[in-house]
Amino acid sequence: MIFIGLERSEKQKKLSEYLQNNNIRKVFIISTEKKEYDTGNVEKERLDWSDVIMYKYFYRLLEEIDPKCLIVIDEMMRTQNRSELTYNCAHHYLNQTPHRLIFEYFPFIEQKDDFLILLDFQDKPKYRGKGFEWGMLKEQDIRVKKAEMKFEILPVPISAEEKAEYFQKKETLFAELGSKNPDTIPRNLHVFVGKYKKRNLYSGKIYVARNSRFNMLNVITYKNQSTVSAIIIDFPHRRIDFNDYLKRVTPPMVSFLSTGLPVDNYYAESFRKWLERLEEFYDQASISE
Amino acid sequence: MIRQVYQNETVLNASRRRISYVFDEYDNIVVSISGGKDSTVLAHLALKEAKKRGRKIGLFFLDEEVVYDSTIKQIEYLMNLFPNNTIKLWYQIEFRLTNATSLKEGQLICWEAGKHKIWMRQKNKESIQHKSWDKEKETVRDKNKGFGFYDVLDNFQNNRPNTAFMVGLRAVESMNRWRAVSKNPGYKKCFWSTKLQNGSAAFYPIYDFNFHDIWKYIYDEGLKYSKIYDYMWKKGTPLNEIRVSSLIHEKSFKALVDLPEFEPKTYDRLLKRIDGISIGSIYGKDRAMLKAQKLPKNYRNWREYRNFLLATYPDADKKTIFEKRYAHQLDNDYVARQQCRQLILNDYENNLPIDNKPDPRMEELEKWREIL
Repeated sequence: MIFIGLERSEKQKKLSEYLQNNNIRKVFIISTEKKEYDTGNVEKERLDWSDVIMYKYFYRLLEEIDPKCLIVIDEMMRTQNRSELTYNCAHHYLNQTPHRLIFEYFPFIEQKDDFLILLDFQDKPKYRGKGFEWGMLKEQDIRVKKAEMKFEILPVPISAEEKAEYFQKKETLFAELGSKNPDTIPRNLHVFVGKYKKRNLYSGKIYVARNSRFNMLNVITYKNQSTVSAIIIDFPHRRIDFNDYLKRVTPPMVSFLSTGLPVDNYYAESFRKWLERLEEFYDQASISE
Repeated sequence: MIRQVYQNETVLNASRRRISYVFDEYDNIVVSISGGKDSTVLAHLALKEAKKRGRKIGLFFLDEEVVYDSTIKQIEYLMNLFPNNTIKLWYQIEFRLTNATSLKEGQLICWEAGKHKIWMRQKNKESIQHKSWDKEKETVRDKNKGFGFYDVLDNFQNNRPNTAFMVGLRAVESMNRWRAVSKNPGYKKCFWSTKLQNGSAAFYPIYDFNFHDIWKYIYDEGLKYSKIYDYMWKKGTPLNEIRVSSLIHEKSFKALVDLPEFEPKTYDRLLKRIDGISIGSIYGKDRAMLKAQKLPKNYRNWREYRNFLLATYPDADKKTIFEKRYAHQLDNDYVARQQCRQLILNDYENNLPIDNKPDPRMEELEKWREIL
């Protein structure tokens, strides 16, 4: 069974229900979250994402996992590469038993095709070599709880000099790129325009930035495990880092400080399109909790 | 996209069926072995079939001299596994190998006469130490390079008419190579084979094995395998990337980095045997050096670095080969990086072919210039 969008307590409930209704000898929880699940009297073992491929686990688990074991795949969509070795090793474990619970907050990292990673966990032979189609959502027992989210842009006015400075910086970055990856240009520019936002930061509010360059107590970074929704100064450059942030914060509000410069527009537009793809997924997944 | 399609037969049963077919069709069978896991499995499968039928098959090993000790131990093991069914074809003859780690000594002459004191080891008593074909009919692919590895294979095969040569090639290792050898059926309607001269053909009975199929067979049959696999595993190399290779040519010099740790005695003998070994050992996995993945700081771009390497190339004959080749190729950073790799690794044979196309990075730059 694949569950999308469940909170921690809801996942625990699903797990307890499953254990009640099935004769399970041992639970293997493959999770990126450190917090332990309660499995009652049933023996349990937790594996981290990084443990999955390790030989000390791999061969032992292949011997140990039998049809009376339950495997919980908890927030394991960590890369868009469907052939990633970690996924493949997890498939080997899943081959040993029909019992599985797959929990993931968002149905994809970037594109709907990422959902095949979860379908592979559910039934690898069926989806091997196939591309994603909406009809696949009807083929498996998939429960979707919609993650409600609002996105707003908080404009930051900038002067003509600052605008000119931005375009000058852009030219410098292109000129000095050398052999570096071209993707570093938007990343650097996005951080660069953060200085225009500094004067709009207020002490009573919490902000989040890509790094700790602002040196202010009320500006945290994405590494901070705070669960309070903050105002976005700059987006992280990896989508999965932003997804992790969205998973843990409440209320589900994304407020982005935007200078209106092309780089901020690009990041805002990119997130807006991601939200649209998410909405489309929810619309297509007619089976809901 | 090339993908595997699963059928209702295990790869092991399929390979047994294929080997049995080859035994039905050919009186003369030779299995090529390298000491690696794939050829170990293939040799074992073929030898078991030979034993069942009371027949003898050849085990062919072309000894490159500069190989792991563990490889030699594995060859000795395989050659003596079914002695009554084995014809030992262990070749220890002079031929040339590319040395990717030294521009001064760009080729190694394996088993070079007069240098027996610095050979990696003494020749095996049961090995074939002289060319077993008519020297007047001997073929050489490129006379400038001299008699090389593939020339030995060509002449060995040409000298054995109506023979089935079994090779442990697996499609997943290189889809391109697999496509090249299986494009047309080499024998009757058998697509897992390649036609050779004089009524012979090469067969690939384990072509559809995956790496875990190989290891399962080794485990199930209790076979010995090269210790290098264990060392690599302990060093954290993923199971699907573990392989035993040659030690000095342009595609395998990276093995030199771990050699002092895995087989210190082999490394010590190799240092005395040929130039460039310590360079390979130190810089084999360095992105800026032999792998040419990172531009050295003194150069602004790969074209500038390529021009420097070409201008200072120490061997005039080979320099001409590179210059002629590069004159037909595009002059951009994407191509130049690959050219740098060829120059550094002394790849005048073009074994690491250049992907000659416009620089994909320029497209990316254009995209960002427009957006930002």
